[in-house]
Amino acid sequence: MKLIIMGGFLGAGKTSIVLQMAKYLTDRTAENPRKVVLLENEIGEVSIDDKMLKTTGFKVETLFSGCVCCTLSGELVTNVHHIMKELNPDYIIMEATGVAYPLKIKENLQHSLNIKCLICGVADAKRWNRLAGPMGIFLNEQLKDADFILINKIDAIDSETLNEVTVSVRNYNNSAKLHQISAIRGIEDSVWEELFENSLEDADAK
Amino acid sequence: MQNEILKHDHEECKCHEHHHDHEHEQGHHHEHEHKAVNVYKHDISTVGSVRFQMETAYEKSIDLVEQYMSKTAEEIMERNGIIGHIKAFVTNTGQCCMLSVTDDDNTCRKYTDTNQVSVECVAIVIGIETEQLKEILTQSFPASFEGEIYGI
Repeated sequence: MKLIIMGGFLGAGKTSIVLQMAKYLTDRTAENPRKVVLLENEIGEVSIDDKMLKTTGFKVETLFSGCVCCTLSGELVTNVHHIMKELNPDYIIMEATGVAYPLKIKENLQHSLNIKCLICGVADAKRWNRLAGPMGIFLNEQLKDADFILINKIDAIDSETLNEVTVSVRNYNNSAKLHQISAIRGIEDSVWEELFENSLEDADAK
Repeated sequence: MQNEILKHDHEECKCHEHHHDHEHEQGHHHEHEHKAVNVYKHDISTVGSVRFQMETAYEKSIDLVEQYMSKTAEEIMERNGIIGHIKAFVTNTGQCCMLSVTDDDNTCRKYTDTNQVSVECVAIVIGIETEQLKEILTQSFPASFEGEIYGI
């Protein structure tokens, strides 16, 4: 079983990307279906994303009213263990809250369950320059340990701004595989192929 | 006393166990805004949640919720806050819509099919205190319009 942690700031487009990632896994492997479980974590007394994802037909487990990198770290381990035991999926795609530190989640799961995880960080190209000032330290913490980075919403900015954003993101993390995408326009299969056929295997081997 | 909003601690009337505006036997009326809007701090963010129902045509209710969310976004930015996201899930029999605002100039709508009824909204912001967010949400999501608003 492989686990992908989707990290990134609030509003970066993680849920839209998670859905396309899950569809890629299930559609591409239609002849040999892969079992995918989506694990949603949301802060707040109201959960929104899991309701949306549940309408798509995927198996969705939810952890809300807290963050799995801190207040719900114990529940995360229990939940993932339960999913592994009861559902035995090929993949768990875990969407962290927009204020989570993905590395903490990865370390927790590796330490507790010995699961090899890949961190996929999502950067919001449209708001990057506005957020990078006041939230720079926080964004750095979210992205610096990512194995794979998706710069999303490139449809909303010009090429010059995209170059600036890419350079800025690279200053936070110069080793991750990086792709510029527009989830709203659709993510190319080549992005997922690199994630699942190369990066995930590399993470598994680490 | 009719229609006057009275503040009290709910120990006697137990009105906090109900989920809608109502007339008390004593004749006073009050709105459960304090039940509809919940706010708290989480790490660097302030989180506010609103749940309510509307007796309004589905498409119109989506337009209204979108207006309330945009109003919330404007207020956050006017107070120099940072919008993490403001999302709402609006459902009606056989259909639902997710609304998402991450800026002051855009709203994203995603429609799917389901069989649920309710409006739920969450705002996660930074640089805004809990009392400020509560005030913003309470003002941006009116307590009553064509239907009613109440905590679930």
